[in-house]
Amino acid sequence: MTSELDREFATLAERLAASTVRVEDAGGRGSGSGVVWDRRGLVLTNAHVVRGNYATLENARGTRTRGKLIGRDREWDLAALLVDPSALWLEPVEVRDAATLRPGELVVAVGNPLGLVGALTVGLVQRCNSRWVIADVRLAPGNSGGPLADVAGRVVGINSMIAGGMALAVPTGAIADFLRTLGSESAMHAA
Amino acid sequence: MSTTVSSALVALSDDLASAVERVAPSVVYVDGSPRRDASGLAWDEHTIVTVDHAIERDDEIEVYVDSGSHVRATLVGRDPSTDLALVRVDATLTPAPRASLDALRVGHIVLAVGRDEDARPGASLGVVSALDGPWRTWRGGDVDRFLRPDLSMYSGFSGGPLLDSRGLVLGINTAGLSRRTALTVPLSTVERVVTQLLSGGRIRRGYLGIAMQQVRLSPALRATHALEADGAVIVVDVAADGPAERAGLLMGDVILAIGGRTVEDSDDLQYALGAESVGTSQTLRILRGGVLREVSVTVSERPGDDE
Repeated sequence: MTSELDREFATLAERLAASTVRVEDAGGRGSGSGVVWDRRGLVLTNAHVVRGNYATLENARGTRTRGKLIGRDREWDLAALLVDPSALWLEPVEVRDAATLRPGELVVAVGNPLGLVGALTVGLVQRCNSRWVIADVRLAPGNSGGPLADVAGRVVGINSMIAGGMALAVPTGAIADFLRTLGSESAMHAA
Repeated sequence: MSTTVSSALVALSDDLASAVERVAPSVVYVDGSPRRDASGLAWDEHTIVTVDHAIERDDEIEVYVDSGSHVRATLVGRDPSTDLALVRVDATLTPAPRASLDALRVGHIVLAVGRDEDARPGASLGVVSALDGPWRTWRGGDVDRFLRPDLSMYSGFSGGPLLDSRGLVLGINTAGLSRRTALTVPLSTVERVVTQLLSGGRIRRGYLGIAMQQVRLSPALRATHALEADGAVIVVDVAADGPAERAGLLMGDVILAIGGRTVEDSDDLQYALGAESVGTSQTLRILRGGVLREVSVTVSERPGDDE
């Protein structure tokens, strides 16, 4: 049982790291993580990570490319970037509706806190409402924009802030709403 | 994308969420202090076990139950020595299923569950970090097993249950028995304290009838009398006709030891005054006017109206 859990945790970490990129604002005004949303080059992160119109993205293998901002919502702290899918090895995430989360479920956060690549932290869902998924997962600043996922590897939110020792993530329901507001340029990407 | 189903992890996650869901109706938020949030566990249909350190008043205690409604509670009794208190409500509560600690081992997965002031349940995951035999708290309470979970005890989790991985209650969590770490009072101890509180409303405690303060012993004094400890307690008041007065103890006496155990602060003295000390004769080693003496005192039972 224990070895099985170990193996599954490792697989989960690898899988999520493959869909998580390091994001650096081209103007140097922010950095954090991002989530590869689809194969056509859509990457989501926090609005507070990308303040300008371009960002440098780096995947877990160290490949770098440039992303162009195609949408930003400061109120929800979400930003959408588009990259050339041929330039970066992209493994999109699977998404789960955060509204189905139950308090006590295990969730994991993946990101690049403090310069670490693909760091994993684990905790429990405390509650979920339309604004936030709240979980007692340890986050550091570099986790911003990275995925909060269930243990099946499905993303339930994008980590945005720390409050009272708890991780606050933008739930997938709000992300879906945000994607619908993106302009025509991105409509084809935000399926 | 291709889905690798993490079966053991997903099963564990589901079990944890189900455990929280099942125990939630038995966990309440306890408002008994303006400064400290606490949770409580339904012990039977009308009584709730919580932590003594979060009950600062004897009336106007409120509990917030699963439905979100606020219910007035009355204090049944308290046992500061184990940091437990019992309150009664008119509402009908759902007691949670309980587990024995017999099969518990260091490393087992455990869950702490609490409820916040908005009546929402919360949970924290960890493992059994230390497990040992009987121990005595700093306030002289006897606890059947030492159980220390390694998990985050969030504000208000004191008084809530510790659950095993099946969701069964192992004990009551408290941050009030150690300054460094959260501990769990095991169910067998909770059971014993609850029974005593229900029958008498209090726990037997030894009583000397003194008020005391901690004092530092000067290096010169320690050298003169070959004292190892650098602290002791000084008697600042002696209750009329109490055990100490009958034994001839005076205001200003410095107590160095009781029953052969060094007394460095008032906790050491409290520790020596457990239930079994009632009725026994104890030798106090004291300093009076710079002279070492021994005084024999017969410990009586602490009157019920003060702690």
